[in-house]
Amino acid sequence: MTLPLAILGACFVIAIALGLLAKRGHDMTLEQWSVGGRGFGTLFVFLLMAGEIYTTFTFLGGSGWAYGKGAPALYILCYLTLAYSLSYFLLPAIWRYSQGRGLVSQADFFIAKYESPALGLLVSLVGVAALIPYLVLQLKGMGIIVAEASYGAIAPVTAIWCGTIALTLYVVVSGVRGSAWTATLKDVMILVIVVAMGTYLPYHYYGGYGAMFTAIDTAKPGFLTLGATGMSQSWFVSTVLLTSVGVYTWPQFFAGVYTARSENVFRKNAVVLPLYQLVVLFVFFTGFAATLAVPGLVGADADLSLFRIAKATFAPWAVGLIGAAGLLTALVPGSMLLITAATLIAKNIYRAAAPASSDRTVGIVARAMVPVLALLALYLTLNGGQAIVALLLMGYSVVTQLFPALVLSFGERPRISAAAALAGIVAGECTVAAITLSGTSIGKLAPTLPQVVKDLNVGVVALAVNCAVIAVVTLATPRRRPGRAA
Amino acid sequence: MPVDAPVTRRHVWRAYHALALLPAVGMLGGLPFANRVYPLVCGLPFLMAWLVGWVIVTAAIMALVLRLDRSHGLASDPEHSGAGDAATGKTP
Repeated sequence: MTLPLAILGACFVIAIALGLLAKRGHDMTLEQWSVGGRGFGTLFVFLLMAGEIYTTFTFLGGSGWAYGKGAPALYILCYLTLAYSLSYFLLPAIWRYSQGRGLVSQADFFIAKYESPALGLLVSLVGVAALIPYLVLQLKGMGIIVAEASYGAIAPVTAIWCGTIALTLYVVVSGVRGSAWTATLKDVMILVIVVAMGTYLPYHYYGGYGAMFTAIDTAKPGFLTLGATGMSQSWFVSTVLLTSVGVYTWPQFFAGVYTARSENVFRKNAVVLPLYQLVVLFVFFTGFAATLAVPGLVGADADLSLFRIAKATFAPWAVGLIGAAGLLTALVPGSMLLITAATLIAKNIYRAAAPASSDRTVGIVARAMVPVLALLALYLTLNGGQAIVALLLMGYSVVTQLFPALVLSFGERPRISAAAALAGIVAGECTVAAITLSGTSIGKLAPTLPQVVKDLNVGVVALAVNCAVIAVVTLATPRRRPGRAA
Repeated sequence: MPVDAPVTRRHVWRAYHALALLPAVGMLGGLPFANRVYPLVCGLPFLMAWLVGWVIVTAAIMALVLRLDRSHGLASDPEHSGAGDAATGKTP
């Protein structure tokens, strides 16, 4: 019973030690702490970006969705793939623009492009708002890992507290360099464990993949395909498209772009990452194996399925190793999220309010925000009951609203005014808030529409409102044409 | 914009860049046909195998696009190739 916890503890100590080692020899200015001094080559950026694939979201949420919902979980495989082909063109453009401009955060990019500090402030607020549910899901995952690996000795609430303290400590000690080093350890561990589980479990319980899927199809007809209503094909297509364009509107990916040494880093990553993320398949296999092997977990409890089947199958030391890998999948992306949110608040919200503050003060504010944000996420974790995937989809609806303004900013000058971008984002976010708070769907709003339209992801509605407002404001205001005047 | 703002190189679009749209069209457009369990492919339900197949095809397509970009001098690092490629902002 204590062995798995000891392994978990040892793993955390190693992660902290790697963070401390990475810190040696670099003085930690805000630029060092948040974008690693812009000196990362292909491998480090690859690890940072790939690190985002194997988060608690895929590890526990992916298996949980395969367990509870079946085929709709495959959207994860698709949206990441399409996001990488988009990244081939999008990220070099962002990186080129950031060169020589000293950009640190996502908001910096919008401020420089649109010459609008107000837009920068709005983008920062949106970024922080979207990061909160993402942080909540990492903490939720850490709570599950610690509680399950203790075989019930540690209560879930205590486990979430332990996870939050560990994450805060880790971030304050190491910054982004710690993330990249620990990402290496994490990726090796998670690769080995996920492939081992996804290979062994289907054979152990069913005698093979074919036998497993045949058994599932017999026991639960329709589980392995997309249904006619609800999570149907139109839900799948709209969710994949929405989330794939949303990936690079996340502020932590923006900050990740700045860490690169050259733009070709992203082009090479766009080729390799689709293949690398195929390992997610083995997470699904684990979830599918659990559907019939450890049935009975409903709702958000489906997130526990990976650990439940592991505990039913393996010895405590193996469960400890799985827990340790899981802990790293929460620590590394969690630290990126915390650093990004803290940098946004310090540099783009605090500094906007107090322009006279020195770099040193802003750096201190950034670090001071880490425990504050962690406590806020902790509070929300303890008071919300949503499943991991639902939390991330919520964050995606929020952050994807930045996509139209991002795409329209490319070119010599942005194609729309800062006012149009602002109005569009505000309208989009209000729609997301209205939809989320009322818990509605297109089907409930307009029951007479055809099923294909009713099943669309509600984020699509908010994005449509956003684009419509941009179009109206752009048409209603006189166009500046500085190019002609010159 | 500040007077000393650095000049950003523009992206140069080529016809073959449209290849990058194929994964989205094929993967999602094929769903009505691919949304079935049987025949199993390598033990996987047909839908899952279809999507996995497209992931692999996507990597191949992006490798091809990178290769074409390299041969057109659009994807070479400035510090390695000197002041060549897209820096001139030449349009096709």
